[in-house]
Amino acid sequence: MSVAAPFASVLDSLQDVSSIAIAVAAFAALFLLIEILERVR
Amino acid sequence: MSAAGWIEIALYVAILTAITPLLGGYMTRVYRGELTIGFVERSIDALGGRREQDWKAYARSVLVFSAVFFGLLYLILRTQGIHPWNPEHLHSAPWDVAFNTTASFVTNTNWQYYAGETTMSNFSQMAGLAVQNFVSAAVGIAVAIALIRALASRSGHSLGNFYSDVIKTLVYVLLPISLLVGLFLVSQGVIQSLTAGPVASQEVIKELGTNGGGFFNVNSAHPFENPTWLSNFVELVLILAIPAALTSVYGRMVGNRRQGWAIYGAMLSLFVVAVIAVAIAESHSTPAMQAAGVSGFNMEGKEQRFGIASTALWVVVTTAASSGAVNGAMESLTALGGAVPMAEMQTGEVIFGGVGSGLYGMLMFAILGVFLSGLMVGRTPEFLGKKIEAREIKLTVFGTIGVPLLVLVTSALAIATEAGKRSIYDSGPNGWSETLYAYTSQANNNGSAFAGYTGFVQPAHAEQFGITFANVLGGLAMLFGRFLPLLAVLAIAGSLAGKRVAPVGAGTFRTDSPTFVVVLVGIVLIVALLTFVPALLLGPVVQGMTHQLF
Repeated sequence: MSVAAPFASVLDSLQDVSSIAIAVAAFAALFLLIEILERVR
Repeated sequence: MSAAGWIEIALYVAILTAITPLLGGYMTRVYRGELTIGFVERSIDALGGRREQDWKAYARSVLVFSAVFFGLLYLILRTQGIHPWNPEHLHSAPWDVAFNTTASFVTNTNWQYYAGETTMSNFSQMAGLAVQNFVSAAVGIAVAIALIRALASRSGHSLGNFYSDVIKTLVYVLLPISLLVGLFLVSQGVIQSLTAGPVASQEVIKELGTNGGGFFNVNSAHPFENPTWLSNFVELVLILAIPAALTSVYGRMVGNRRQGWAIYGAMLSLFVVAVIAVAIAESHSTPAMQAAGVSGFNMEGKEQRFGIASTALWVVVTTAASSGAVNGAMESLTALGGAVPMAEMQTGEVIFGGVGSGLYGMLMFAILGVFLSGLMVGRTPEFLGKKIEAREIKLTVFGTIGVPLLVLVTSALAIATEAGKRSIYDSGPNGWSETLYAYTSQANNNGSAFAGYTGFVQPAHAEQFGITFANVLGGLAMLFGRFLPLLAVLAIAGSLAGKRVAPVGAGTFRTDSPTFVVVLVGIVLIVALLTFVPALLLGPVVQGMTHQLF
């Protein structure tokens, strides 16, 4: 294992957090859309 | 093209038309609850599948279900290094490629920036991607059934139960057909093993569920995925089998089979015109061939064992359905040959379309059709006896225009930014065509790739990396391209379910007549043309009008 490996894995984890954050934001927007569509008259 | 080629196309249309009422009749029995197996019914009970859901509860279930599978798939793809059945010790793809791939398979798109054989372990293919091929297809079909129930409903606000619909689709429709046809594919030479790859099991649902994601990078051009003319033909039938059968389910469940045939007629007429256009276009040489002094058919990028007819048919079937599978190189098509699949996707994937999504997309156009026809003759628009009012029209417009807007905005961002340009391979109009095709394909949940455009660079002797802009933008395009129209459809269904049905009178505009088929085809074409012609002019049209090689 190279010296840089632990840092690389921390970086990887941070990147995964950003990926999950984008997905959570997208699904949250879609849940919100349900409420908006309900209000269309 | 040879006479045999035209016969193949005619045979395909005949077989598709013949199986539509057969499979449609079977599926109708499934969703009416006439087919029951003990353990399936107990599973439905355990999941609370007997509880009736209004449109909001149904929509929330769709989102929760999809979000859970999003998390599971992402986890599988990012922990690939510690999984079994990874004989080549492949590492996980970078986070952004995994994000794009997860969004792609959860939304039934199967857009692939990666090459399967150099990126995915057998475990990821089986437990991750193949599972998603089943469940994402089941989600689309469930939503279409919910809309049909709303149209057939005489009172109340229930659309059924999402979990019940998904389980029934998986167990009674997708799994048995996959098992039977998977064995047939093995007999043709498609491989199925834990060492060389579980290809047949993935190939069959890839086609049946209009998913399209190949086990190998070259997809169904690879002889281990699609070895013979017969395997190719059967796979073609699989792709359109369920989208076509759902028109029959629709007709039967609303109590008038002619309604289903009218929708089928509109889809088929658009489809046949597209097949003829591609077949004729590919029977001519390209400017590059002419410059090289070569004449004859355009066989560049096509498999010798398939030839012009099977490739032209494949191009049109897979882009009419939202299947991204390919059996030849799309970028090697003639200018017109390449414009047709792009235009098919730009109709909103309603020429048969994806499993479920094709029918509910076309039914939104049908609602627009009765509204516009009603305006022209000065009558209150009705669809199947249900009054179409402002709320339904606003939701329909949102559902039909949302995805085209998404395509144009994402394509513009990708072509106008430095981050976006990193993904483009070709120069000139073909570079624009690559970009437009990529976001048309992703936002419409097709997955077909024109080649060239990339989000994942895998050099032979250096570290691989993803192009984050393309991966994230594409991933979001797929998620919103899937769920914006889907939620609009469920909202429309919720609105229509509670409406009383007016009796048919002398002033009723019939939606099961040839006149309505013409109206429907016209509306699909007008919406697509008004939205996309300027963009198409800059790409394939410019390329087709010049002899300059790009």
